[in-house]
Amino acid sequence: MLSTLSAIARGGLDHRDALVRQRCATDADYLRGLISGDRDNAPTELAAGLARLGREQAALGLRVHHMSVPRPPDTPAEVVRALVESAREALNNVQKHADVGEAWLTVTVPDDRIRVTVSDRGRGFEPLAVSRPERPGLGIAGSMVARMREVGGSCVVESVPGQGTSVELTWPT
Amino acid sequence: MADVINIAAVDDDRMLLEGMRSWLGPVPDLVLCATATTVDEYLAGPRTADVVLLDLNLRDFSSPPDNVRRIRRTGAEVLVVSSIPDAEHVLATLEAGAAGYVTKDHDLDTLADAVRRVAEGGSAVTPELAFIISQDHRPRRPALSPQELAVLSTYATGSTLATAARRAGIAYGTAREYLERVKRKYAELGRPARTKVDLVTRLREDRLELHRLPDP
Repeated sequence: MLSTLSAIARGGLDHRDALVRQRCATDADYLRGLISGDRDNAPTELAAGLARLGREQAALGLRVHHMSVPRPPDTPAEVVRALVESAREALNNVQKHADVGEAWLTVTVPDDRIRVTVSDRGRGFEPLAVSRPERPGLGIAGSMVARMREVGGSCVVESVPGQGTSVELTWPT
Repeated sequence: MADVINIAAVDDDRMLLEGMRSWLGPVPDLVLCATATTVDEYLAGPRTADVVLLDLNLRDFSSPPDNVRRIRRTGAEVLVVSSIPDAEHVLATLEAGAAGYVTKDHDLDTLADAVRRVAEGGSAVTPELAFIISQDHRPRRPALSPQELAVLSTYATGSTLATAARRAGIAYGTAREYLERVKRKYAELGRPARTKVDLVTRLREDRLELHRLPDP
């Protein structure tokens, strides 16, 4: 981010150039992701981990819109890891299968649980044909389901052809 | 209104205003008729816009809901834009009659769609706005039905409206109507506060009550 700003300041980059604009957009998304959780305090591990995912994906061409409740509760490190890794996999799936340029990553706290949702408005698929959430290890959702289950959480994948896909990671179950 | 929608942009970032001009250049049905860095400056001009894109937090520290109300009085619809989703202020602009909210990170297509919908008299409930509304825990929020909330919270995660409708077990058109209704409820909430004094008092009360809430 600093390098982008410095390069523009130096005159080495033209802000009207498409690539430069994309780099700026990525950096802005990253900052926004960090800020969206809480403006007054340092971002939590989860917020920082998820913001990094957005940056990674942007480099591959997927724009991630990151929205979060103000103060998501702290969770044990292994839960943070499971949530971030599963979200990464969900975003990778959007990248590979959804045929869209943007995805949404949201953090909410329904009934005192923490929920990370990855949604897209892309192609979608017939979930039964690809995976069976009740049998981890099979298909698209398998490893996310297993990973979340290991730490006492859950993963629900919902999709319909033509209506996008959403992956809900919740902890605790 | 003819085939063309006249747009004005009020933003204190001159670079953004400049960008907006070149951005909208190739879009045939959207014409940027005025740019201003403050609402005063816009109101001093010809005021011919159908839709005004209003930056949420202008550097002159003018009150966002006041800005919305003053522009609405010219007959224009207001679409609020900001780079950071500041929930408290976004909700206040909604109550003041803003037709919608978009973050500045969106592409031209999203913005153009929102402008067209607003110009037709509809509202622009983006996932970002849905998210802010679904997280509204102020004591003074409007009462939403369980089904309205269900549609809103699914839509707020970036899911398609079709998905939100399916999950709530209702038709697509009904889901769209629910989003409009939620937006209307906010606009109605703002209506009784006719004077600035009322509004300031009420904002202050809200803030006090918020501070009294225990940390989650």
